[in-house]
Amino acid sequence: MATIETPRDVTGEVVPVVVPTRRPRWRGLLRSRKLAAGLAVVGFFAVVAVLGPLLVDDPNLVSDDRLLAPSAEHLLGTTTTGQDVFRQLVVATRGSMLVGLVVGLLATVVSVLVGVLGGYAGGHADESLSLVSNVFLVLPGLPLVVLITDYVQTRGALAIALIVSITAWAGSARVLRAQTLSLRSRDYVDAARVSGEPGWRIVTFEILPNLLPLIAAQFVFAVIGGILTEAALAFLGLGGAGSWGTMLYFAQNSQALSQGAWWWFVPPGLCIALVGAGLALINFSLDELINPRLRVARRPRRTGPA
Amino acid sequence: MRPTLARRLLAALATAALAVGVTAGCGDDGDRSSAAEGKIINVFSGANAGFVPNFNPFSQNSVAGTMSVLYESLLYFNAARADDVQPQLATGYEFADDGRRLNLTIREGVKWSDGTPFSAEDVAFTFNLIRDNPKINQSGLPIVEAVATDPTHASITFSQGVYTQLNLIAGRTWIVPKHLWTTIPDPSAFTNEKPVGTGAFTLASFSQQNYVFERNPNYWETGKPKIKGMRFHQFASADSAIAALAAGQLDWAGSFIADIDKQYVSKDPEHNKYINESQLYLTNLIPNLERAPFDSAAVRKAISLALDRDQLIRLAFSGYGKEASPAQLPRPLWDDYIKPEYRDRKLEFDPARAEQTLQQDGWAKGADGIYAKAGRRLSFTVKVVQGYNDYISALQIMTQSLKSVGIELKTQEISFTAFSTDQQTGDFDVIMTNLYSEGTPYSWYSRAFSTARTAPLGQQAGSNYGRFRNAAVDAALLAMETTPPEAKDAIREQLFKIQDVIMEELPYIPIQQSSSLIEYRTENLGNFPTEQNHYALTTPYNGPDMGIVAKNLTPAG
Repeated sequence: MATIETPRDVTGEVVPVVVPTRRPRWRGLLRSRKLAAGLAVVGFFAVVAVLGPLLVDDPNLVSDDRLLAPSAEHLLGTTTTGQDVFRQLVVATRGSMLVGLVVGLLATVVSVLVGVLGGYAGGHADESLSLVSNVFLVLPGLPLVVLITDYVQTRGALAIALIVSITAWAGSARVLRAQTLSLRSRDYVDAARVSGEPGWRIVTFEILPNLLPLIAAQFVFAVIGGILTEAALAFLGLGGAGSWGTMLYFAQNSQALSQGAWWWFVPPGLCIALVGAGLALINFSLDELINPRLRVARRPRRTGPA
Repeated sequence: MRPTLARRLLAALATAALAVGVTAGCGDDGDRSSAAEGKIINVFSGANAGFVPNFNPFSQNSVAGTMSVLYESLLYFNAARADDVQPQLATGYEFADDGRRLNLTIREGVKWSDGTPFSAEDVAFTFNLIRDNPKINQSGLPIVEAVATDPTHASITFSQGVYTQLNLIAGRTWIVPKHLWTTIPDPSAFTNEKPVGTGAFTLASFSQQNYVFERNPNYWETGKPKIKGMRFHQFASADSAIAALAAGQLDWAGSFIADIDKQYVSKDPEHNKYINESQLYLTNLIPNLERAPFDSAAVRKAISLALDRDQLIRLAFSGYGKEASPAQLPRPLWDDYIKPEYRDRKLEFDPARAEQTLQQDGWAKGADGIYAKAGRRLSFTVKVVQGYNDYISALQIMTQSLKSVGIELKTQEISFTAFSTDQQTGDFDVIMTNLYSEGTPYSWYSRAFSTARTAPLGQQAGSNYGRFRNAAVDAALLAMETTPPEAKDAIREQLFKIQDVIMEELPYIPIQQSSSLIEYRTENLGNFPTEQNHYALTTPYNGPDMGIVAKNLTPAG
């Protein structure tokens, strides 16, 4: 936990700063029930995404069993072209999760590069990087992505993820820059600088470790954003990843709602909601780690040693 | 017609907004007038966003009804019946000078809706306006000059023969009043919010939510129209339009409805009727004939033999599509123009013969179960516009059918923009798209098969994207261009020559005759066109047909 101290710096002035007394409390994190629940949900979908498609038949296989309600033969019923919804759901899990993961990674890498390097370097470099991220921040995300998707020719999970990433990094970059600005002026960083540590070492060994919980939170945030944006795109008919959004798009176009085929659109919608909730739970627990004020005081146990 | 991407986007966005409860209700109260006298019927022509006032008949963005309901053409070419030409503002026409001059007899006693008399001057003015403003000359008519010789006679001269373009000149050119349009600086950008036309209805009110046309009391055709007016509605999603139809709030709509008997007809079997207009488009797989292996007719025929059209129509096209003719003309509309021996020719489904055809062409099955020849596997990619869910479903089905005869089909979904570019420049193995026409058998063939409408790979082709080139076809098309439209037998003779080539070569692979579902309710209106009395195409879209239907409708009961 951070403690508040009022040390004197070299000029003798008293400067109140927040200094981490030790590395973040990862162990405390592991006890969080929110985190456990979140990890369980996301882990389940990750396993389905990796293994599921290997275990089910071709989801595109058509048959004359059109628009059947769930049964033992078709666990989640069939579509208007007689395709099995369960198989589609399993395969779509891979598409959605892959897009989320790639968007998370790309957005995090870019935001760390732009935010941390800019924040640490300062001066013109910071000004220009900050300008770029501010510009990306005010760009209307979804419409821009829709436009780009319309012009980019290749389709597929990776292409979609790349496009979604374009607008996904700017917010995180700003947050990371602000935190870096605060860290770079702290005593231990000054001390490292005075003792002759090179800039890259200061960034990687002094600043980054203290940013880790924040970066992790931004990563989770970007994954949620990626999954949701991809679903939105696919629902507009601009997908190509074979995702939950694609299933919703097909259901919508085949008028599943007015035909009462709930088994076609409820499962993918539910999956999106569940993964979103799972990731949000992880994010909450990371938030608590970064900001102890968010942590709900643990009720003292009635029995057992304190 | 398939909605444009923009429309699909708007529809989807609007639906999404609706789903989260952002928009406050769509459509309209959909009130039904009850009095037998003076019915305002409720029409839905597919609008899914707020109406923007535009009653310029030369604009692609004009609201439904502008063409043919407010403004009229000289003749109506019935798109539902071959050779049915109905006089409108012109009572007669005659070609002269080898088709380079069109002499028109103009109807007497017609008035503009502001009371000004209509005359041949207005006709001449309209065609000269189009000549002077290339932006509104969408059909590229080669007009030299139009003159009114007297109030009931006009004559238009062209720089080349226009025998094959009569439909565009007389059937799809909307005559506008000279006394109001002479002062319009740019007729392509004009929104014409106070339209004055000769049509059977005039604009009564307009708002973003709906607009109303009311009977034109001075209409030239005595006794018409019989209904009091039409109210045009909008619905944010197909689902809400279907709900309104099923609830009896609409009298005439052009909406795709899956399982129409259950979702619509069964709600009121006595009044809820529909008609499936299937003569507008032919869905095809169009191979790139300049790319191997599609330069081989055997490969094209094998692919066609391997496809089960019944299954495709049943599963991918909701059972509404109709069997396509290998002669590439919609049936039964153009039956008289199909060579008798080809008229009932079907596209066969025979997987065993598909494989034989390939083997005779020198293909041999490889270890992976896919045919190959000279080291090249019989595998190709079909490009399709992303989000065209019926095409994508159809391609999934075809993939399976073709795999079972040793042909590999891969689907690539691309954006509408990319698709347009690729089809024009020939950057594809195969595309899945519609063939369509400007209303004549000549135009069906000239758009799809004329050398003049294609281009070398890498350059933009007009409409012959498959790069089909055939001297006999070109000669027959040229012969038709120099044949007056009345010489039906001479035209037929040329069409039969083209059909000989198409039947022999099978340049493209027909999938289905596409369908447009038109719903109408007989509770409030009568005399709607039927399969037996198809006096006009029933599509309630902006075009030449809606006005003809509207002025012939009668109040029911």
